[in-house]
Amino acid sequence: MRTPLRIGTALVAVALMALGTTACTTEEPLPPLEEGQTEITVRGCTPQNPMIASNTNEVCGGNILDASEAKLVHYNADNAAPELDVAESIESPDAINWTVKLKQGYMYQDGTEIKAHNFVDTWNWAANDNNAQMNEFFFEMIEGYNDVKFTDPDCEDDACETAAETMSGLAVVDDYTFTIKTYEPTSNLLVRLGYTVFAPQPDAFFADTSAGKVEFAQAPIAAGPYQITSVSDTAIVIEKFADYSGAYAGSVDRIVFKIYNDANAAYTDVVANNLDVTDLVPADSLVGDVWKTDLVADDGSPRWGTKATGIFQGMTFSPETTDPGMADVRIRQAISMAIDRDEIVDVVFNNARKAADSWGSPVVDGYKPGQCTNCVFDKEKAKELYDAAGGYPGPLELWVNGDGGHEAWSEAVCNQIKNNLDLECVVQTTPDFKTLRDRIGARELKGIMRAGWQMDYPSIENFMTPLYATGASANDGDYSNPEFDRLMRDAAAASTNEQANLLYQQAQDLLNKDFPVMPMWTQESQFGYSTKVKSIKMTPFSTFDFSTVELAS
Amino acid sequence: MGKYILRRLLMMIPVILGATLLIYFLNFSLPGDPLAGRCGDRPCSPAYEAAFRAEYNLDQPFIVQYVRYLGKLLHGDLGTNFYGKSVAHELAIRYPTTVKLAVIAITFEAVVGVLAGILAGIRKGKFIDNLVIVSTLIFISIPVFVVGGVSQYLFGLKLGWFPVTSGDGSLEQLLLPGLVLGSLSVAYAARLTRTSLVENLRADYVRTAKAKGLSTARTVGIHTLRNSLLPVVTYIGASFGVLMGGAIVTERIFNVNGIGNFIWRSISQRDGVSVVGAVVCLVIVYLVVNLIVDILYGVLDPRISHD
Repeated sequence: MRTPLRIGTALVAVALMALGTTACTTEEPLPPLEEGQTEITVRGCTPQNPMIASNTNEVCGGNILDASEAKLVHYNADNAAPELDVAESIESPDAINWTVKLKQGYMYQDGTEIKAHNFVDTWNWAANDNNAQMNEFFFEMIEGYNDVKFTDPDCEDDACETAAETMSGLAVVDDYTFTIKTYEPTSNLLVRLGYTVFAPQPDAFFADTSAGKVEFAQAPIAAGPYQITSVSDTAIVIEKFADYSGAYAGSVDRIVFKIYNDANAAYTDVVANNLDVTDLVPADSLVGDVWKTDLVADDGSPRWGTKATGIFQGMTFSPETTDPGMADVRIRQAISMAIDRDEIVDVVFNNARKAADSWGSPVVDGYKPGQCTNCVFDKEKAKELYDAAGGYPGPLELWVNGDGGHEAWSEAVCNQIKNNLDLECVVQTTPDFKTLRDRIGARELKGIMRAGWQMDYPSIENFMTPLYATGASANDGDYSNPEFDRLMRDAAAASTNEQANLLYQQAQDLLNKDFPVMPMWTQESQFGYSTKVKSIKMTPFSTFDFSTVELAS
Repeated sequence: MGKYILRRLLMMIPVILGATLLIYFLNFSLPGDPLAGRCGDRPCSPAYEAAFRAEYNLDQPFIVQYVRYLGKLLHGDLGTNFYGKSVAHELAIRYPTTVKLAVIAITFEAVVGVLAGILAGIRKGKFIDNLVIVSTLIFISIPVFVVGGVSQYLFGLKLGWFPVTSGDGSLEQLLLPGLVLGSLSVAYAARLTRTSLVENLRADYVRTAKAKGLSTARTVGIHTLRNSLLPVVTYIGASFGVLMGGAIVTERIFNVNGIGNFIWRSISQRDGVSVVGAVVCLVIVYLVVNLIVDILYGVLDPRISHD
């Protein structure tokens, strides 16, 4: 009698184990492509937030929205120059009062038309603190922005109130015209309006009553060349919008963003031709240019590319009030000259960065190379300047955040300073980026601190005003020069772009003289593609230009 | 038997409570802030930060956060993660994939490990024994991420025997990750079987059986093996935990959309709600598997009774 019972128990046990596997829910496969339709697979990742442009600032959701949203201004895929898309014209007599005229008949994916109120309502909604959108700061130049912020910034749950519901600087004139009034002259407003956060939401968005518009975000409707058709945990699918009204129609019928949590897996899949495009090449494949030999088509042609992106990395010198040892400009210049940027770029970054010689990124309008003469490696002159200034009461602290892979290059920089200036240098890390920012904000850190800046819009101005204007939000070194501030104001009010750029370049000469921040490097993105793709372009924003993808026949 | 199972199930309650408290506390005391890096290279706006903290109770002291979490847990609600999705749902869709992976690994471990162990045990000191000893030593000394990366490169990319990564989690795609996952445990299982078998073959009852004229196959297969497998079964149950830990690495390398990959992503995003939920689930699975193992003892050795 015992034996059958025991076997029975064993069977129950095995059945329990198997339960999980059989109870598996399989996901619905994608419908097959119709005859003659094309498809590519692209590396994707899980969006961190509901897919609403004003609450998306990471690439996972951003890359999708970039393809699905139509904006007033489209950035050229090669040089990021602004081109009018939904806008017919954006004009201003004084760089303060702007009139935006829209193209008529520009349609959303649900068949409704983009009208002026869509823009005004979207911007008012996104900027309002009651909606707690991550990207609200993009609207800060519009008059009335301060009135839609909470009156008490540290408000407790219920005591949060804004002075107004909408921004006074926005007004609808008629169905196809609206006006923008800015606080200050903003001659580059047009350049700013191309970011997805400015894309208009359709009426369906405002009809959604769910908290944070999460229901709308499940299947967002936009007016761009691609429509989001399915979102699952393994893939996000966008399909070409047949009735797209703009000039940047997609070249591939269906794009499948396959979800990867790891850059290595995606890269290996591209090498094996299982995935068509990846925008990430893992650091260990960059060593010795291994990736360039991995990614070669059968006919020997490369299936990889690089593109300069709008990311600037520098080091801020601690302000005089925190670190009196940094007060002498010669000390700061000596430290900068003691660093051989090219060597670090080559050895540590495997050429995934470019040594910076200016304050900004080469992808933006108004960038001029060679502005930073103190960025040229010259250890004799560095030592001379350093000794003449009487030296720094060491050890010099170099502050980076510990969660961004900054250890290798900071050690290299420190060693060069040590060797070339005979100045003791120690790398200090904070547990994460936020702690670094908090401690810099409290002006606690001495020595030099990492300063990264990713552009919000492709203009040299974005690399200057927020970082070096007196009292600006990211002015970590407390730089203040009335002449610099004047140049910023004049440039913002300039009537032409060329004139403005000249003034920005003059301001960079001041930065070179006063040297509050030393440029370190600008970033390059690497990408790879399968043999199925003949050519694909990466934009200066590290996204792909899906309107010009060519497939191998 | 029923009473025994009931008692064991009741014992799980304090274990689960203790585990959640511990994980929650560890997660809470991690340096850094969940909002770190959430708004890119700039601090989040005060309004966004306040709304985020209020939504996830981050503005409350530890004990309040924990009690609220526990209250939800009792209702079967694992909470909402930082991606705004239900953790229970996230786990439910990934669970089958990880179970499949674990079943492949355990099958591999049980079949190959035990077979290799038996072969080595009955031919102690011969070539096959040395082969098993050396090859298992290799797998034990190499960490799983190296085994994973190398086999992906070799068998996936260069030889093309297996898919390079696993997208939708079909059995074929999970085979290589499963084998990699099981590779460490298979080595231990083989060594354990071998040692245990060698020991038992010297026992008096084996000599008696041989003297009685039983064939070697019967002596080894029925009498010795059953006794020798007890520690192996214990190990296989316990190795389930190791497999779950290994799954975090393996699933990432092969892009398997399972619990391990989910935990890895959640840890790197500081998504505490997801981490606690996923780990609590693993604890439960681990407890259940070990209960099953204990029940299996009775099958292998009738002398062990749970009544």
